Amino acid sequence: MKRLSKYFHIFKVSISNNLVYVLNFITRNLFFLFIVYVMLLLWSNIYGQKGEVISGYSLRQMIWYLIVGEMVVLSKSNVFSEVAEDVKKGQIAYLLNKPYNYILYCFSNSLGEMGTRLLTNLFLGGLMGLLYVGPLQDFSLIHLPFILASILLGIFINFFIFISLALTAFWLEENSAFMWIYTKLVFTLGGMLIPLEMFPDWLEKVARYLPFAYVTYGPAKLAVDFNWGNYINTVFLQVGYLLIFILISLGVFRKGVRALNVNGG
Amino acid sequence: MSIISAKNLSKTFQVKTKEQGLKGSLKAMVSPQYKEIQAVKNISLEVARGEVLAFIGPNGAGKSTTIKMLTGILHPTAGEINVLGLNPTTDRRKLSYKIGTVFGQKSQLWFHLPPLDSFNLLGRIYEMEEEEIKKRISYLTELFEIEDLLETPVRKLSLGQRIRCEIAASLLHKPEIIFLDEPTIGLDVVVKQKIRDLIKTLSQESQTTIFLTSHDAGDIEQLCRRAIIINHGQIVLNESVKNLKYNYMNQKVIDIKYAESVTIDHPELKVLKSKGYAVKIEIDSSKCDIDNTISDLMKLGKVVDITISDPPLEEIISGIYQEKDIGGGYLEKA
Repeated sequence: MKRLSKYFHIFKVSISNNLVYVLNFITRNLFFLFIVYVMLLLWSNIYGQKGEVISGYSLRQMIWYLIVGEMVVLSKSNVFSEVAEDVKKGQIAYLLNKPYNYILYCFSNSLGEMGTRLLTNLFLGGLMGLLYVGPLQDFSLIHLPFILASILLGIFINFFIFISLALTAFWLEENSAFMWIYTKLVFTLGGMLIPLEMFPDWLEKVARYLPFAYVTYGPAKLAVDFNWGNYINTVFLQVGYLLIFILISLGVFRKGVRALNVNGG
Repeated sequence: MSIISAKNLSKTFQVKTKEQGLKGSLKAMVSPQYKEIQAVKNISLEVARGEVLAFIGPNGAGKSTTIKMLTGILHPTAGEINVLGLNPTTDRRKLSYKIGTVFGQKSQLWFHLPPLDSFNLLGRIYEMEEEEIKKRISYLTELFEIEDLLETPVRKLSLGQRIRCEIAASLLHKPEIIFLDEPTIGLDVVVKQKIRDLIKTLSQESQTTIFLTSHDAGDIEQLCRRAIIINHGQIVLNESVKNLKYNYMNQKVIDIKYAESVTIDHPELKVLKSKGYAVKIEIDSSKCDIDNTISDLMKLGKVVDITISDPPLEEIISGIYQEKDIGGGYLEKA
């Protein structure tokens, strides 16, 4: 029991630590407000010329879709830059010689950050959706907890991909290019720019099997067009990808520790 | 019985090198060149339970690398290590319950939170009972005189205050061995002394084995019975501090500033530098009495300022090289 409860305490401390950054939170949220507003203008214009429904999405659905996608992405933790920084500055020496699993430590530590961000993003995103385009037709509150579960899975997959990439810092002096490429892949193939249905057929088929779609597209699509068949399918793939990336991160860590070269001091 | 033992320990790093300027950067991109750096070469050592050992050497000598291998953070390139019956490389987590570490230049406390939060969390990470954590915190609080600091965010503590909290944090789980890597670095004289006193109390009260690295000769003189000196990754000397003091650390440097011009003509004193009314003198404390020498010096004229200090560790090591005749020139190149 104590073996697991330590992670819960790490999570609790990380929440306290994150509450110190309230101002930072608010600034991020302003960015969220702004970006959704720009998308609203853009898509209103497109819908004005192309008609009521595009690729199965109404304007209202499109805006909610984009809001949910942003919610997932904006609720990420800083794990990538933190791990890279810890390795560069040698702080990693203190983090490795403790009786815990380092990956689980990072996860519990990030959970506080992701959780506090998600709460503010849910609130603000919901408010913006209601104010900008109004509630979705056919939306049922019963589905809400299920959609939330899928959003959380998206955030967790995002985390484990980030940490798998971040751990390359154990070998490389500079690894920020990985993060840059990955975030761009989520932006495009993950359906943050436009939903997968708007891709050419072949690309849509490919994207549906790639992990990026299950970070953002999966939960966002469920939020605007919920049906059980799609839900089970999406969550099944999300859990699968989550497990894969947990295993990858553990594997990369095991290898990386051997190659680690602690700087300074 | 030795609780730390290392045999023929070595660690080699691959370091990317690059010629100077933009041209060098471009060249390094196309065909990166690597240089092998041997941070630790063939070190063997033993430490007994309850011992306070000084592991010393100048910057870049391989002290930290050795500590990191002994605690399981770095994997050795070659050699064997046994700490408390465990192999740190493979049993890092198991070993972490039994050892504590302090890296003077880094922090294990949460930057934005008061130390108390970090202590409580560390107690849980080490799977201690809640009652036990409380007891231990109150014991360490008293010992380290950190009562007033417990609820101040770490970022607002001074370096000296923070180091006291860092050491307390690493002792929370009653480790059998504590590794202190440069615990006094960057501290002023008064705080340094305080930390030394604490370490002394610690070893006397709880019989904790202390493995201390430092590049401050004062740390060793006051704290340790035995010292291992390393330089360029190799053990230069492994001797009792008593012998070390007698043979190599008997030189003191006196900086004295007079209000008037004086001539120093003393057979036992070596004038290192003389500029205006200020003189720098080296004295061998095994040959002449410091007390008498100082009063002799004071009689020469009105003294404005006087300081007595140990020569830097680099000089002591250079002295050892000369004594052992293994080439002091090698050291000067570094």
